[in-house]
Amino acid sequence: MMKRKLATRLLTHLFLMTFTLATLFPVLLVIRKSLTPGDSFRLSLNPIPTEVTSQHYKKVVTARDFDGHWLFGRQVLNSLVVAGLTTIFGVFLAATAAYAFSRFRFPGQKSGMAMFLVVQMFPGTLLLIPLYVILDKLGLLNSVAGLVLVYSTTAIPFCVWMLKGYFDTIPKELEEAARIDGASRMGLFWHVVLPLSRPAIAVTALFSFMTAWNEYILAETFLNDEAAYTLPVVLQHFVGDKSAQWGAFAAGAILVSIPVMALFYVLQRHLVSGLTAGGVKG
Amino acid sequence: MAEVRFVHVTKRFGDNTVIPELNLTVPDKEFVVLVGPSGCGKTTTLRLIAGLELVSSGDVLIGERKVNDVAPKDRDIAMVFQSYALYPHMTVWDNLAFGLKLRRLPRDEIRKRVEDVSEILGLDDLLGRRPKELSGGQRQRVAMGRAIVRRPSVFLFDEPLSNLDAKLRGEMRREIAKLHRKLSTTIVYVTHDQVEAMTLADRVVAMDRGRVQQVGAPLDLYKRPKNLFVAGFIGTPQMNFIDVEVSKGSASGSSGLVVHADGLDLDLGDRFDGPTGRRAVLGVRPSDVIVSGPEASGLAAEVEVREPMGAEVFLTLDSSCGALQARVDTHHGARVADRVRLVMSADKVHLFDVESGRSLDRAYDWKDAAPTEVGKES
Repeated sequence: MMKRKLATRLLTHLFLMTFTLATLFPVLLVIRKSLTPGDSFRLSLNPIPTEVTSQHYKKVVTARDFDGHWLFGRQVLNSLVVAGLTTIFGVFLAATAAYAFSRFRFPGQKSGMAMFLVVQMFPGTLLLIPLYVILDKLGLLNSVAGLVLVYSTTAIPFCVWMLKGYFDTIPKELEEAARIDGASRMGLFWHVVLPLSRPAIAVTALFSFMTAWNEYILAETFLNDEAAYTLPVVLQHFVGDKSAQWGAFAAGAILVSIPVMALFYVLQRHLVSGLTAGGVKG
Repeated sequence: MAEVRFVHVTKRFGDNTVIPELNLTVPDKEFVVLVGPSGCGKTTTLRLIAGLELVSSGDVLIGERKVNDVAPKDRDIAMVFQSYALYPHMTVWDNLAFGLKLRRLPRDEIRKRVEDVSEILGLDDLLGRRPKELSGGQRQRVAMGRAIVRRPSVFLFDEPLSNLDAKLRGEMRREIAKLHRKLSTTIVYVTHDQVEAMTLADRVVAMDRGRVQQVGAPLDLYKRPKNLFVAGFIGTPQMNFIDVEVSKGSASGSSGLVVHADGLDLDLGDRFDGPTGRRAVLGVRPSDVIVSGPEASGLAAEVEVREPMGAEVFLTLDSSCGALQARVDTHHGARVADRVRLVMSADKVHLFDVESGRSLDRAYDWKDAAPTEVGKES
């Protein structure tokens, strides 16, 4: 009996380790590329770097424009501001909207949610041209505000669905108790609903942040000033038509993933309960 | 301190009329229990007082104030929910203090009140814990504490004990009774459990299908049920009902009634009044069925089931009038398959009109009641 248990366990772990390795392998290759001198694109499956250099990282971090202004810092800031603002706007608007969808009865409640779902079905590239025209008319091309606006509108529908699902599981009695206790609608949303929704808020925040942080096509289209670039655009430019600086690209890719990994790490406790949220009541 | 009054209140949810017409007064400082089967409108009635539902027409008054459009927080009420509805992310202390903080009470006052309440309810050791770390009984106490700490003029209880096990329920029931004595505040308490209704209430309001069937002291409802619903709902085991024919009594002379059924003739004397030559329903509580030996005169029956409960025994009896229940002393000699005679005393039975279900007891005057408003109480 004990032996069978042990065997099952070993097998399970072997299975899990295989898949972990398979998942991590490409990442290791990128790390190796970022540390290996030269930009050659040699196909080698050995993930352990044989030579180590920091030249690619230096190149990415110290890049300057023609006037000698430091670019990388500016671009990191762009990305942080865009992703940060998208998260704040996205989560705030999604939370308030989702609460209304979850708790109030109003005309367009059902069709509104359906619309949000339909909007999710179109790929962002489909909207590229109309969005470009709209941003142009608003004078928001080549600006952080423009990107935040576009990213928020794409992130909010998903976040609303996610949060509404979670709000639906919060017992109505809690809010009724708070209303009797003296809370206004806004007060009970703030003091009761939001604190209870932390896992779902964490997931939606992370989703919004990642959407904005990783997005390339829209950013590439709307931004044409190097100083306004967000990081994915910067990355792509390392392997443009004329040159292919794979080393710098890999180094940049690693640098870009660090903030997201850090966020995941901080939020992981909430993530687990957030992703299972709604499945089980209570 | 305030009385609660419903004046011609109706409540509809869409096309569904939950409360067709409600007139009810809950006097100041009284403990009033709304009791009835699920779906009878008792919880809706409570939520109308709380302001969690709004009336479709009519007025709700708390004190002298019409509160139809007043928000729950401004009604000076507190409510204890069936599910307790404690804030899961707050400690017991914060749960108790939440309402006071929202009302911007001075800090010292909040601390004093929370301490007072936690002392009354024995929550001192639990103040730092969160609801999920508490047992059912403890949560129940906190839920009550959260209501008490606000010092409202009306307390509302919505089936507060139904999530507790039997032992704890009895304990908390007695605690609530004690609290009412201590606080002497108006309490409106909703339950489907008639034991809670009988033991806690100064006044019981029996409801069915959105209508008040009878209002009165617990024993009033038990001894003089106003209609078939109340007669059947109050009392365990349930009252026996026997279909009978009513005729004029010959012996007693005056207006006395005699009822007949297969194998049963009972002279009811003067207590009841009703049309003769019609069918009616005779009601007898199991405890009022006297089970005698076969030599006595009475309704012949055979003992089918014998359920010893300890201090007493429930007997299920097969008679020519159908199955009847009797509740006898534990030393009673009747055994299964025994042939017995059932004796009913005319002053312990009840008589109801078949169609309207109304009691034919002379104490109730139905002349003024509209035909549809069986339970209307002024």
